[in-house]
Formats: sequence, structure tokens, C-alpha cells
Amino acid sequence: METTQSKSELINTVCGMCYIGCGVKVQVEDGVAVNIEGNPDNPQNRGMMCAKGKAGIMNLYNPKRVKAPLKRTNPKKGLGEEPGWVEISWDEALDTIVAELERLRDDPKKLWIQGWESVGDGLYWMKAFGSAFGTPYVNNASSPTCGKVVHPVEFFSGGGFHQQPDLHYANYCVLVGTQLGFAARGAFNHLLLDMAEARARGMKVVVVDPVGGYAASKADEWVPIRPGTDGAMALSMLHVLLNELGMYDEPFLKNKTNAPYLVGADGRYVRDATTEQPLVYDTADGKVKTHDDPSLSKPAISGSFDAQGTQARPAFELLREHVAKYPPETTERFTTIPAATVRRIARELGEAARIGETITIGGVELPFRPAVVDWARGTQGHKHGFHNCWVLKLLNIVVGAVNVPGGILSTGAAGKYPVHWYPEGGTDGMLEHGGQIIRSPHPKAFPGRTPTTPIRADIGELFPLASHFHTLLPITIEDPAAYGLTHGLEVLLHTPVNSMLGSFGDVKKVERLYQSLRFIAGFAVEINETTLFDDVVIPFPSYLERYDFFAGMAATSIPACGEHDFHWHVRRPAVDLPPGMRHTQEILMEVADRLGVLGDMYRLLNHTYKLEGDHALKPGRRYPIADIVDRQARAWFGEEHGSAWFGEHGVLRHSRDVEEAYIGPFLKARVPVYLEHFLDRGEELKGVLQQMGLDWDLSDYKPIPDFSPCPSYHAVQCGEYDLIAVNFKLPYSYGSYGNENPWINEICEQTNAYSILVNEGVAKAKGIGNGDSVWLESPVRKVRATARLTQCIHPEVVGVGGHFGHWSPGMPIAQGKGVNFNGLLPTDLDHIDMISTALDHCVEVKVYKC
Amino acid sequence: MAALDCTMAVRVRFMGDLPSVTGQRSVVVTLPEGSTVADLVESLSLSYGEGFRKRIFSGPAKLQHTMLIFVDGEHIEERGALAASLGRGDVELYMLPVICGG
Repeated sequence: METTQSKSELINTVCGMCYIGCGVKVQVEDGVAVNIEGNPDNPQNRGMMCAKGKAGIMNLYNPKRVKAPLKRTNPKKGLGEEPGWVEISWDEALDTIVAELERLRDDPKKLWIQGWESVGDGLYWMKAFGSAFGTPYVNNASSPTCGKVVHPVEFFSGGGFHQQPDLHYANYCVLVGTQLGFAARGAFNHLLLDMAEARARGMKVVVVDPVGGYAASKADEWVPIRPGTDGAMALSMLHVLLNELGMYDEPFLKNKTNAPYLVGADGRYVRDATTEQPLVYDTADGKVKTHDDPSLSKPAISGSFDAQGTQARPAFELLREHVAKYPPETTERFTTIPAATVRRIARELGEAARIGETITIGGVELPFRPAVVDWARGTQGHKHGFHNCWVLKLLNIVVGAVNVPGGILSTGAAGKYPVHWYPEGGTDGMLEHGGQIIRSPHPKAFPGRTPTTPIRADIGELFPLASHFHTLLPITIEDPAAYGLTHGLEVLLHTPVNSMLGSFGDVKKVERLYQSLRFIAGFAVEINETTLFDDVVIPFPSYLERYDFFAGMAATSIPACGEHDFHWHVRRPAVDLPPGMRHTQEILMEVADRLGVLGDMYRLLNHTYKLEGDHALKPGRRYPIADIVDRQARAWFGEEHGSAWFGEHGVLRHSRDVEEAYIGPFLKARVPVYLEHFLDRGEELKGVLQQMGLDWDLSDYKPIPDFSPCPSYHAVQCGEYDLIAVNFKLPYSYGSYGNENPWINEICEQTNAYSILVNEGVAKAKGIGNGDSVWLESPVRKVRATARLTQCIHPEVVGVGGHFGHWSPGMPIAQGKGVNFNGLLPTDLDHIDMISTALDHCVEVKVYKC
Repeated sequence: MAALDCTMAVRVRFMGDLPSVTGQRSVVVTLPEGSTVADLVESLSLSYGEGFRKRIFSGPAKLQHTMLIFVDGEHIEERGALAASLGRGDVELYMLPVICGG
């Protein structure tokens, strides 16, 4: 009798179950992945894993996975239409795609790329492909809320991609509309530990959120708030700090912000006649001088001065005067937070900030501000999302808690290895150029763009401070002529996103958008609701089968902040691709080659990844993806650190110094408390709109944040609706392929995640019991749901968790479970933030028994 | 004739957002010998109008951060930015999307 020795391997690679990228070791037996463990050497997750990561094997071996190219046979597209898939050869699939793209060769703007594939290199490859082809429509983001405000705000007020509380030193942490360190966000597995350690150390956590979810349940204090009113609360907190308590970091404001810039009656800076630089008043010698005058010693942040023959006041004084309109008693009717609570939290924040104190780290004395206000998606998705968020960031700025120990830190903003990158100043001495390790343009709202009559089908030109605009497409295609548009989109090429469910709102409008496209080709892991509109489907490899040099955002844009090692890891396949499948990058190389744009795509990839000399990709050649990842690794970390090195060692670490960890004191630029450029962009936009015959509300183009309620607030006040629905994240499903994974589904079922949350008292008054079937009705959609009664939700609010409500037959486990929240959202300009293009994510609803 | 001898043909290709702005994928521009990228961009702005200029500049002589310009295959930041010479006259102008969240 013969026996066969089984082959067992432990493969170092990077998780791809969400956008973060934790270091993992995959146990492979005879070519089959049987277990995934966290890599203890990887500083991102320190050996930890989340439920999604552990469940990754189930996505790999999903029997419904797409493993061959498919073609639809039913030409009719729409909700409920069965595509009639048939398998086709790779030749037929790629011939069809190339032929459709060839039709656009002379008019490439009719191509739309949805490239949100942040798990790996697809993020940059799809961008390079689309840009080389010549289309302006390359979505590197697909959410209608996430990132719309936080990234541009963070780049101009911190220098990096995202913000993150310094959990090493903070003693007081206010989380507004976010569950950082508990259930969501970048560096997830890392921050869970940091948060736990901070709590053990005694850090107080206050969660301000309509939903008493994972973060609130573990916080010291949960403050229920009416959705979309965070800005009102923050304006009141600013008033308390600035006007009632006088708690602000005066040296920081004077020397590191534009607080002293003198502002004239027209709201603009008063500028030097020769240099056009903003002027400040120096109390040391009583002279008005430019902000960068070497003799400037004691800039004034209060008072009124004669400058250039006009009376002018420091920007900070205008801010202080403005927020005086918002004592907590005036905002209580919007937020429902008692004035005394707002006043107490403001005082606690101000006291915890320990203004004036310093700490020595690595031999360097730094300001010590161990108090922080953090916010994220929940505060962005509102009609006035930009202002709602910006004022929250200002709370950190006025107490000087920006990029210093204990304060709010900017992620991925600076580093010295393997290259040097650091944020820099620019226009008017203000922070303008963010720091990024990978060379790719970052979101930016300062100084913005000059608005013009739109060419773009998403009218991006009319949003000069926004970073991306695709959320507007379902609106503009309804009436292109209203915006002077002369072309529509014809062809869509997308990665495995599910935009039908999560990138827009009102599902009927999204359906019409997708129906308007002549041809759609998509990479797919499974047949989701968006894939149902595809003409050609191309199988997409699992992260356990792939090579990626960029293997998630925790190594680049959203790493853990503060005193943590820089790290890099490379995704390498744990198992072989299923027979007949191909690597995505190799497919893109072939398509680009056949279209004659391969060299241009390489030019962008070489630039983005800084591949030079022998490492650069050469026009005329196509490479195996293993070769490309190897040359990327060698180009960055030296010849000895090729892909094989990462396979053996898993992760490369490099310690960071104080200048990288706490960039605030080293930054040669000021951060804003006053957004002067909003006035110019608003006026320019007004002129363009007048030419176009459009009458938009441009009241948000103001330099100091203000508060206006969302449409849902008014709808409830009118009495037509009595509740407001919001969405919240679940730690075991967000940012991932979701609940088609049977293990994830099991967690969802065990935790009642598919039910909607209704306040117990409100539900009982409506005769609704726990587990009852109810109708959830918004102005645009009515869906059936199961009610879960809880005291842990604001009484005016209905909570809809996760990314559920799938209807695709290709997702039989997930099908019919939970509610698709986005489908409830009215989608029109009345529900779009006119600064950021965020879609309002709080919607008036009725809930009643079926 | 002498003046003509002192000109150069610059082959410009547009990528990313720019073909939809210019309506062309490429163009040949004749400029005096010794011209710089700034001269080229100014010439293109005159040809394609204010809309082009407004899209590619964020301020006087300041390109939008989404703009990438390569001359003879080399990024102009390595050659003196807008003051870079036009070399052999092969220029590529890219306007890129930003990498965003969500």
C-alpha cells in the first residue's frame, strides 16, 4: 500500500477582506487553504484578526463564485431582470470589451471607470488605465458619503489622508458619528488594542451618536443626538470654549493658524499691496506686516486695526463673534442634547486639553494636548455635511490638539523611509500640499478649482471644492440639458463594487442610470446587484490568490498614528488561481496593449509607484504580475527585498522618529480657522450659475461654519413623517464583501443585525412589538423589515445597520435579509451637500406594522 | 526665414480629463526654440480658451495638483517644473482623478 505525504505550508500574505490589510499567515494543506491566523510580527494587527478576516476562506471557496467569463443573453436590463448568463471564452470576453472601447477611441469621455478596489493594486491600475484611455470619469471612491469631507478637510488642516485620535496619550476622546477603536475605521485591528489600552489607562470616551451601538455601549457616556445636528452641538461647544471659558491655545492659534490674519469688511484677507500676502497686526511693535515677515513676534488675534487704509479684524475674532450666536440653549432644540450636557462636555474637553503643557518624547519637547474630538462618516452624510464636520475639526484646532501628543493626528502624512514625504505650505502660507507615500493626487479643498460651465456629465465643475462627483450622476442623467450637458456616458468598466446597493441613493434612479449605459463590463467575485446589469462579467481573483504590492491602506493612507513603526507588506498568493482564471493586472495589460495605450498606462504606473531605471515598466512588453510586484518591492526597499523576501519574512518594519509621529510642531505652514477662499469660489460659482440660468443655494460658501438642519428635520417638523432613519456600521461586515459569506451571515443572524432598531417607547406607542414585521417607508421607497426594540437609540430615529437587503440570486445566503438603506434616500440636489457632493444620509420615514 | 528656423514642433498628447476639455487626444504646437513648458501651456491656453486655463491652474503659474506633465518621458518636476525646456518636443499632459475614500 502506498501512502502520499501531504504537503503543508504557512504562507505569509495580507488580508483582503476589507480595505485595511492586516498581516496574515495562511495554513495551506495540499493546495487548500484551511486556516488564517494573524501575523504577530505585523504592526498593523499585531497577530489579531477580525471576524471578516477569519471568514475569508469562505469567500475563497464560495460555490457561487464567478470563475469564468460570462455574457448576458437578455438584452433587457432592470431591477428584477434575469440576465440569462452564458459562459464564454476569454477571447470572446476580451474581444467584446476591446471592441466596445475601440468605439470610444475618438470620444473617450464616454467611458466610465468604477475603480474602487482599495484592497490591492487595482486602485492604481484602474486609474492608470482609465486616464491613459482618456476618460475623466475614474471613480476612486464609490461611496456617496465616506471620504467626501474628512479627506479634503484633513489634508488642509492636518496634512494627511484621514484623522485619528492619538490613543497613546489622549485622556479624553469624543467620538461623533464614528465608532473608531470599537467597530470601524482604518487600522481597525490595531486601534482596537490601542483603544483598550487607552481605556485601561483611564481615557474617558464620550460617544455622540443617534445610535447607541458598539462604541456607545462601551463608552463612559453616550449622548444621543438628532441626526445631522452635530454641527450645531459643535458650534455651541466652540462658543463655550471661546466665549464662556476662554479656553483656547493662544500661542498655537497665533503662530500655527490663520487666526491672526486680518479680515476686511468684505470677509477677505487684507493683503500687502506689493506681495499680496495676508497681513497681521504685531502687538510687539504695533505694526501691520505680512504673516511671513521675519520680524513678526506677537500676532494679534483680537482687536480692530487699520490696515491698508481699512479697518480689519483678526480671523479668530470673527470666529469667536460668530459662534457667540450659538449658546447651547439655542441649539438644544435641534440636537435634543440638554444645554448643560454640551456645556459640561465642552468644559471637560477644554480642561483635558491641558493647554500650555508640554511633554518630552524622544528628547524633543512637544505641546501636550491629551483631548480630542473625532468624527467620520456619520457626520459627513448630510445636506450640510461639510460645515457639519469642519466645525468639529475646529474644536481640536482651537485647543491646539492638532498633530501633537494626545490630540487628533493625521494619518500617513509624513515619513522618511523608504522615501521622504511631508506636508507643505503653499498659498498664503497655509497648509496646501498633503503628504503621501504613493504619488497620486489627493483630495483637496484648498484653494479649490475655478468653477466653469460643465463639460463633465457629473457636473463636477460646479463643485469647485469637492473631491469626487459621481454621486451626482443619477441626478444629471434625469435632465442633462438642464446643466448644458452634451454627452452622456456609454460604457462602464467596473471592479467588484456594488454601486447599485451602496454608491448612490434612490434605487429607481440608480436603475435608470445603469439602464442608460450601452455596455457594461465588470470584474466580479459573485453576481451581486450591480453585476446583474453587466453585459460581460470577468472573474476576479480572491485576495488569497493574488499578488499586490499595494495590499491595503493601513500601510499607506490610514496606518495607525503616533509612535508606531512604518511597515510594508506584499500580498502573495496562498493558493493557485482556479483553472482558467487570470490575474486582473494581466488582463488590463492585454486590453491596454490592444487599445494602444499600454505605454501610457505604464507611464502613470511608473510615476505612481516611482519605478525608475531597470525597475520601470517598458512600453511594448507585458509582464507576469509576479514579476511586477517583485520589481516594485526591489525598487522601494532594495534588491535584497524582493517579493520572495516578503514571502519569507512577511513584513518589513522601520521605526519612525518624533518628526514623523507628531508633525504639528515641525510643519512649516499654518492650518485654517477661517476659510477665506470659500468666498471667492462661491462668487465665481454664482457667476457661472447665472450664465447657465441656474439658481442654487450657495449659502454654504462661507468662511466660518454655520448650522442648517437637514431636509429630514423639516419633514418631521411638518408632521408628515415622525422618524428619521440612519445607517450604522457593524464590525463584522463593514468594508467587506458582506453577508454572502456564511460565517458572517451567521454572526448577523445571531446578533439580530438584519432587524431595524426602533426606540422601545416609540414602538410601543405605535403598537409595534419586538420581532414584528413592519413597513419602513421613506419618500422614495417602502420596504418590509423586522423591528428590534431597544432603548439604545434616539427616540426620533430608526437604525438600519450594515449593507444588506440583497436581491441578487447570485447571493442566495444574503438574499432577502436586512434592509438596503441607500435605496431609501431621496436623490436630488436638495439632498446633496453643495460643497462636498455628499448625499444626505438621514431620511424621514414612517414605521408601521405590516 | 531665420525666424522659422528657430521654431520647434512640439507634439502634445492629452490624457485623463484633458481630451474631454480639448476635444482632441493630441495636437502639434509650433513654438520658438528654447521655449519652456510654461510657454507651451500658455500657448495651449490661448488655443483652448479660458476653460482650459481655469481647469489646469490653481493660481498664477501654479498647476492644479492633479496635473502631471512629462517631457520626453520625464516628469517636469525632475526638470525644473514649468521652467523646464521642451527637450525633443514630446509632451504628455495628464489630468488625474484623486484617490479618495469610501
